[in-house]
Amino acid sequence: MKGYNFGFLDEASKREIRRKILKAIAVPGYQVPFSSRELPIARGWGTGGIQITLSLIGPNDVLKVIDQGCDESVNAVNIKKFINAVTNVKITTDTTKASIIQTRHRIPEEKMNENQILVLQVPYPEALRVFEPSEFETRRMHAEADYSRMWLYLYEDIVTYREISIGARYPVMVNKRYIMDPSPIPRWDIKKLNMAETLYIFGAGREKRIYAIPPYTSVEPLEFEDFQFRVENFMGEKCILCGSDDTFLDEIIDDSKGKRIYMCSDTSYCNKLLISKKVLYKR
Amino acid sequence: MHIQPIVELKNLTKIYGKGCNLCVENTGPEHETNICVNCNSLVACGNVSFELYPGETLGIVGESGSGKSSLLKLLNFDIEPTLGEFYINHEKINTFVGNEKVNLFNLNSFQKRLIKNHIIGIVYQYPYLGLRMKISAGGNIAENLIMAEWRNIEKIRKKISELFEKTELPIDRMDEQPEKFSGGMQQRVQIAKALSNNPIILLLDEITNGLDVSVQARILDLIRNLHWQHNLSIIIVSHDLSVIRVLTQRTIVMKYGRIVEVGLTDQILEDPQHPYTQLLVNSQL
Repeated sequence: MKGYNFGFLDEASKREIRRKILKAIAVPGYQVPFSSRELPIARGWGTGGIQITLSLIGPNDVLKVIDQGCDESVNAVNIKKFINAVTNVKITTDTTKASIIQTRHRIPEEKMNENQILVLQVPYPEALRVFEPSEFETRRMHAEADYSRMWLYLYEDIVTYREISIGARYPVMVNKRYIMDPSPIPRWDIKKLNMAETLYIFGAGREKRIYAIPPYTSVEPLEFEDFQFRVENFMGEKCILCGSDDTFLDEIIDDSKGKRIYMCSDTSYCNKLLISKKVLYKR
Repeated sequence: MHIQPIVELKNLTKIYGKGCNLCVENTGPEHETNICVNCNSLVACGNVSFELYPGETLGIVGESGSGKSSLLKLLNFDIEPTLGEFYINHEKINTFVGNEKVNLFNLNSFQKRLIKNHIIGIVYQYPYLGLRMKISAGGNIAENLIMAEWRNIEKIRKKISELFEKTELPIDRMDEQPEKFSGGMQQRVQIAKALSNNPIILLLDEITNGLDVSVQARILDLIRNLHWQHNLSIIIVSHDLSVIRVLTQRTIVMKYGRIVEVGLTDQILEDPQHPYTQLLVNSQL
């Protein structure tokens, strides 16, 4: 796009964000403050992720953007269009072909490798915020690894509901040091964070924080010995399109029949399966 | 025979304000103030030194503003001292700070938290200082257990039940918030919480304030039983001389942030030496 620097942000801003990313990678799970820049999108709409992507992207990168697993949702499409307009990079929907994937609320079903980076958009970077409103206090807790109140929060949850009621944003312990908010990904995706080959970078534009999970880092969901972490159970339901029963499914109400139907949340993976099964996928 | 004290406190000074070289000199009972005329700082505690012996119950008396509560808060690391040394002589402490005798005030906040959680139990004057009112009574106790690396809900709840029984609290109310409890029950929850990790030192700050006499008597009874059962060393702050008489063997009298008299409780109550102590004893209803 004429009149703009490659990747929209000026080089000094990119350098600052890259430095903060390096720091985040050096201290896995630690939230690094950064000077979130103005973008042509309001803060809180993926600006953390966009700034990370724009600072990392080069002319030879291949970009994929998803929103809750979907390549075609409004947020994903607009971010894709914007980044393409300011960088001219190739865009793909294929998880395996992308070098950078920006995502909101999901991690793709297909296994990612060492040459890929997953950029996650984060609304609330502070996992401890649910019980502690003071930033001063939460920072102190992180610094001293004083996490008993996080565990107490889980204890109270178990006492009240007989299980831990957190769905998305399930708190995890990174590298046995920092408790981290994994962004609102479902529990289903939490296990993909542990000892992954891929670099995960988390960006919160409104809250001005960047944090990361480098490849091959231990990431453990918080659990008690007798109340272990478990993922969503779809009770044997299958994707109505591709027939998968081993993916994270979205529950949708079929308006014409008034019944629940289930579909893969990761649309590109679902499409791929359909093509490989030679099933014609009609919209 | 020489008995090694379990707690040694040396020259503890806490100054609020910017402080100056003359603060300690300018204040105290002989000046009848705890505010330094030179720099206007407030001396909450000045050169306070004492020992606590194993199994002993030590009373601290004094009027409001004499530095009693500040002293307990300093011992519980709730506030930082301006000067002073604090030692605890017990093998349990070596796990956290090593075998060398170290001034506990110089530890980092992580080590202080370990000591607070494993060695010291505290019961505050006001339950809202020691308890999270919106979190279940059991949860308040669970917090201490969690801090001591307990990660099994069933075991945690069993331990909470034991503590509830010991402190005469109804076990079937352990999942209710303490804000729904009576004052006496709230104090019991605080006591149960203080005992959760088998402390060796118990700090009690005016624990019977605002309770009616029958409840007061039962709380004091409870403290006395726990003292024997757990071989605790107790420091109890009170301005109620009858509480001091019932519970303690030795007493410290404080005024304007200084210790003005130390002695056996009987001696202090029957034959007070310092004019202030005489006034205190004679003012009893």
